[in-house]
Order: sequence, then structure tokens, then C-alpha cells
Amino acid sequence: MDLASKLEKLSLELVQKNDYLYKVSVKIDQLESLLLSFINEFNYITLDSINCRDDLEDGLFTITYCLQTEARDHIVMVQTSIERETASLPTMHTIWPQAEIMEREMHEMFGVDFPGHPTLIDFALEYWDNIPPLRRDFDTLEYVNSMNPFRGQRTDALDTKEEMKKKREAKKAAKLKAEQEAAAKAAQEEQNNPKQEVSGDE
Amino acid sequence: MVFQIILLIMLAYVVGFIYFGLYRNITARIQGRYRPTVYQSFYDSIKLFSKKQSVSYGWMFYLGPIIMATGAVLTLILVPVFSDSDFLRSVTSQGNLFVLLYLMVLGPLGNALAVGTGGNPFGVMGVVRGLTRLIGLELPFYIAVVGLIIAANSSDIVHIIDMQKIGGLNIINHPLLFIGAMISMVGFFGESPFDIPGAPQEVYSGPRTEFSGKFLALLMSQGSLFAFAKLVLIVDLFLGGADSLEMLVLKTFAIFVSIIFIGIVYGRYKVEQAVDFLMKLPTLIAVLGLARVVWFG
Amino acid sequence: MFGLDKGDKMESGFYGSSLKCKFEESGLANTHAIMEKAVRWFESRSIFVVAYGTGCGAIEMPPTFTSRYDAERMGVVGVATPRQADLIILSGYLAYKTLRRVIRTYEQMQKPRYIMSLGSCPINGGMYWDSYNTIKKLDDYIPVDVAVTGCMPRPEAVIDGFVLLQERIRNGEKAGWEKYDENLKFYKDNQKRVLGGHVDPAYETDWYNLNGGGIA
Repeated sequence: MDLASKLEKLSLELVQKNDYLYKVSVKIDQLESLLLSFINEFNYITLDSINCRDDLEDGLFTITYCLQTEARDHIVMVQTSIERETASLPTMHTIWPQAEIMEREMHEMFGVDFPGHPTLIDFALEYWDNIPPLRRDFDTLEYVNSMNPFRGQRTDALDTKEEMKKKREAKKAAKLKAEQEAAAKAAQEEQNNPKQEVSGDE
Repeated sequence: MVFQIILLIMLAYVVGFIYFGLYRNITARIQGRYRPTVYQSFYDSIKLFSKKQSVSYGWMFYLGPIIMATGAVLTLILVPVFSDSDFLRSVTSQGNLFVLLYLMVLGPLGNALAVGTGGNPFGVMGVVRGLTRLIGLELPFYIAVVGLIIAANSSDIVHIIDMQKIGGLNIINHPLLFIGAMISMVGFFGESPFDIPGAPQEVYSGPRTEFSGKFLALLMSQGSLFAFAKLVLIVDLFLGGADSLEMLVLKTFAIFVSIIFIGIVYGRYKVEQAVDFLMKLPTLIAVLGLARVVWFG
Repeated sequence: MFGLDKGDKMESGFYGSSLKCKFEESGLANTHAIMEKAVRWFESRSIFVVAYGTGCGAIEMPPTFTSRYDAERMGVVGVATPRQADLIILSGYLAYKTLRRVIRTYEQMQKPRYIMSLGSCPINGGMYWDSYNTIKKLDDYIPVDVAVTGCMPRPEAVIDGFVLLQERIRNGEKAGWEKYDENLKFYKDNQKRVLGGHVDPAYETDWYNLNGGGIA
């Protein structure tokens, strides 16, 4: 059975993005069985990554599992949506060991819960007690400004706009002066030796 | 005599530190670097002695470097430095090769006690590696020394030096013993391929990891004293001793440079590789030398 | 080399030295001043470095210390542990997680101790100015002695920083570790603000006293 007909039987739509990239959207309750059938029946054995997107407006997290074939010639993206409020996913670390650390990162950055995950502890951050930093309702700029304010301006600092204006004007004046001087010099030279214009050598 | 001992320690301190300065110089030139000054080790030592703070973990931590320094100073005093003069002769006649061999192990043991008090895991690892290596290092060196004792029919170093004046240098008479002893000397100097205890990429500074300021300075100083003592010992045993300061510096420096060159060229062995190697090749060479001494004189 | 300038008045730049160095007054003070100057010269000529590769600047360390630029000719040598080090080089941006370890490492170093920061990130955040996890002003948390600017600074600039530090040590200027001891509350408050109080030990001496040890 090929991939498209199998998915048709499950009433799922396989979208072909390009020669090697497919995408399929699935409900959360079908996710685990579909991933298993991708491994067992179609040889998509490698989990490349688990990605999360925060759809704040719809109140959803969109999760994407990227699977690759053993021959590394096809990638399928299995996409699913979960509620933003409850934010819970089945853990895949029993199928792919590398999923453990990916899920740990997602837990830290988005606050997604994985029931049954063995090491759901700090990953890159330590003692983080705020909203998970990659959620869109976390105001990064405000947080940064409150925690790490900018260094104060130098006391001897000058206004850049004014200074540049002054510089431009000075440049213009110098140019004008040079032009005038050159014109005056040329006029004087012409006066001194009127008809000795150098022609190009042949 | 006390004056002579102080003079000897000062001489060893200066010569030892200048040797280590030269060692850093030569290493730098071989690696294509510019180079530090010859006195760089002095600067380091004085700076470390004048540090405002040195962390300590109780009285045993103080005692460790002192035990090491004691071992180094005693070794230095008991090795006859000048062969013909009366310089410290009354002291050196008290000791013989057996005492020296015991004293050479005193340092690592004292170090082990202090490092254990510090409790740094890298320090403990370094000590364990160092003691494991010592098993391999001592074997060829002891066999070589036993060979020399049999050849000279005495364990007195002065007597061994006197024998060499009559019958020719030991390096020519017993080359196999010399090679065996030299290979283990490379290890006693902490050079590659036997620089296992303080391997910086593996166990940071090894036994010295927790030592800072004054303690480190004391360790460095005793290291240079001990290095000088070991060089003099090798010169006494195989090169017929030295009767003047120039000859002493010349002969010790020749030995030192050859050890440096070996150290720079080779990479580092693993612990088991080093013990394996030392138990096979140098031991075999030393045993052959010993057999030659026993059967052919 | 160090020499004694007769007219030179020295501020007591030394930690724990109660002796006021006044050249004109007594011969003893004079000797003391000469000794201090000599020791400072030796300190400036022998700097043990622990290079903490916090960011991209770590890549500038190997050429600085190896054949091409050879920092050892100025007495600057890398060591493996903070216990033996005089100078810590923080090469690049510092995340909160790194900062916690840097504070720990810095407090394990023995006085006198110095800090050098490389690049613009420790000065003003650099390209990580809006990161939720990176500090902007390193000198709020630990006292920086020399800040080498650039993104990244070349080894020449790093060596220039070494020379500047050596000059400062030689002149007996007030070093960062003295400021740290004097303004400990300021630094500890700042550290607690970003690290949420999870800085242990509270100060280095607490750590030693816990284990029944002390500072020699």
C-alpha cells in the first residue's frame, strides 16, 4: 500500500510541498498511531525535530513532527494542534530516544506538558519562574527592559543629528571655498599666461 | 655546615629555576613561539609567594607541601654535589643510595595526604594516577641502581664516584643501566610521554588543582630543588660526578636538555599504557644490564 | 625594570596594609614602599590566566596563547584551575546560567585577582540586547578590570588589554577585587536581582567555613 492511499483510507490529506517534502495534518488522538504506521509501514524511521508554533489568536499550539526515511530521500511533516490552555502531548521518547531532549526543550520554552516524560527539568534556563519565554504572551522587550536596563548615556555624548548637520555644513562650506579658490586661481593663471594651453601629446 | 646547606639550597634554587626558565625557552623556540625570559619562573614564584590569599583546608593541607619540600631538601643534602671537595662531605657520608631511594618516594606520599584533605576530585585522580605511574617508574630505576651497587660493591655514592675515576665512567661501562635509568628519569621529571598526574587536558592540574598562592609557590620551589637533586644524582651515578661548579652545570644541563628533548617530541601515554611500557622495554633493558654486571662484571 | 622615583608619592594600593607609605618620613616606610613596588612589578610580569570561553570570543584565545602571538613572552600563561589564576578572561556574552558559574569561579580565585572581558556583549549586550536570558552590563555583577572592545577583538587587541592590565598593576591602581570587597552589597544585590537568589555560596568565605577550613 502506498502512502497516499493509506492516508486516504484514514481520511487524511497528503500535501506534496516539493519532490521530497510531504505534509499531513492530523488530529491529536490519531497522532501516535499515525507516527507508528509511518515508521513500520513506510520506513520513515528518523525523527528530525519536533517544532512548536504559538497561534495565540486561535488559542492553539501547532506541533510539527519531521520524519525522514532511512534512505534520507523523503521528509514528511506530521502536523497537529493542541489546546493552548491545557497544552499536553503524548511523549515519544519510548519510540525515539532523541525525542526526550526535544520535548524537554519544548516544555521549557512553551510550557507544553508531557505526561510520562522521565526528565522534565530545566534545560537551558535555570530557575525560570515567569511565563515560558517563547510563548507570545510573554513580553520579551518589557522583561528585558525591567531586568537588564540599557547602560546610561555618556555624559560627554553629543547629539548625533546636530553634529552630522554641522559636519555636512562645514563640508559644504569647505567645498564651496575650494571651488572659489580654484576659480580664482584659474582666472589668475589665465591672466598671467593667456595663450599657453597644453594640448595632449601625440 | 649549616651555612653550606643553606648555600647548597640557594644554589639549587637558582640553578633549578634557571633550568626551568631555559626549559620554557627551549620549548617555546621548538614550538615556533617567541619565548619568555629565562627568569620567568622566578617571577612566577615571587608572585605566588606574595599572593594575599591562599585557600587552606586544615593543618594537613599545610603539611603536604612541607613534607614534599623536606623530601626534596634531604635528597639534595644527601647527594654529594662536588666529588673532590669537602663540601658537605660529613653529611653525605651519612646517607647512601638506599636512603635516597626512600626519600624520592616521600614527596608523592606527602602530596597524597594533602590532596586528600583538600577533597578536590581532580586532585585525588591526579594522585592516584601519579602513584600508579610510580610503580612503573621505580622498577627500571631501582634495577639500574642495584646493578651499579653490585658493580661498585658498595651503596655509598662517594665510593661509586671514586670507582668511576679509576675504571672509567659508568655511562660507558654500563650503557644498558644508563638507558633504563634515563627512561624512568624522564618520568620522574614529569615529562611526556609520562606526564600523567598533571595532564592538563584530562585532570586539570592533577594533584596541584587545589593548591594556590603560597602552597603552589612552595610546590614549585621544591620541584626545582628536587629536579636539581635528581640531576646531580644521575651525574654522580653515571657521569662520574663533578669537581667544579662549571662541570656540574655542564653535566647536569646536558642531562636536562636531553630529557627536555624527549619530552617535547612525544605525546602523552594513557596511565595503563605508560605502566605497560615502563614494565616492558626499560625494565628489560635494565635487567639485561644487571645480568651483564652480574655475569661479566 | 622597577626603580624608585624619589618624588613619587604612593597611595596605599595594597590590601590589608595598614602602613601608610610616606617616602619622606622614615627609612622603614621607604623600604616597605620599595618592596611593594618590587612585588607589584613581579605581579605584573607573571599573570596566570583562566580563559572562560563564555561566547564566541573563545576562538580568539588559542592564537593569543600559541605560536602566532605568544602571550607567554609577557609572562601571561594559561592555567587549568581558578585557584591558581590571577586573571579570568570572559570572552563574550553571558547568559544567566553562565553568570552564575562565572561568579562561582571568580570567588574561587585568590586575591589579587582581575577580570578581563572581551567584545561588546559584556559592555552593552551587543547583538543580544533584547535576549530574555542574557545580561547587558557585566560590571554590575562582577568588577571588570579591563574591557577589550570589538566584535570580536583580534588577538592584538587582547594583548593590548594585557599590557594595560600590567600597567595598572604596576602603578598600584585600585583593582576590581578591592572594589568588590568594598561594594559587596551592591554586587550581591544585582546578582540576586537577575539570578533570583540562587547564588551559592553567599560569599566565598562562607563556603570555606562550612568545611571547617579558613583562608591562610
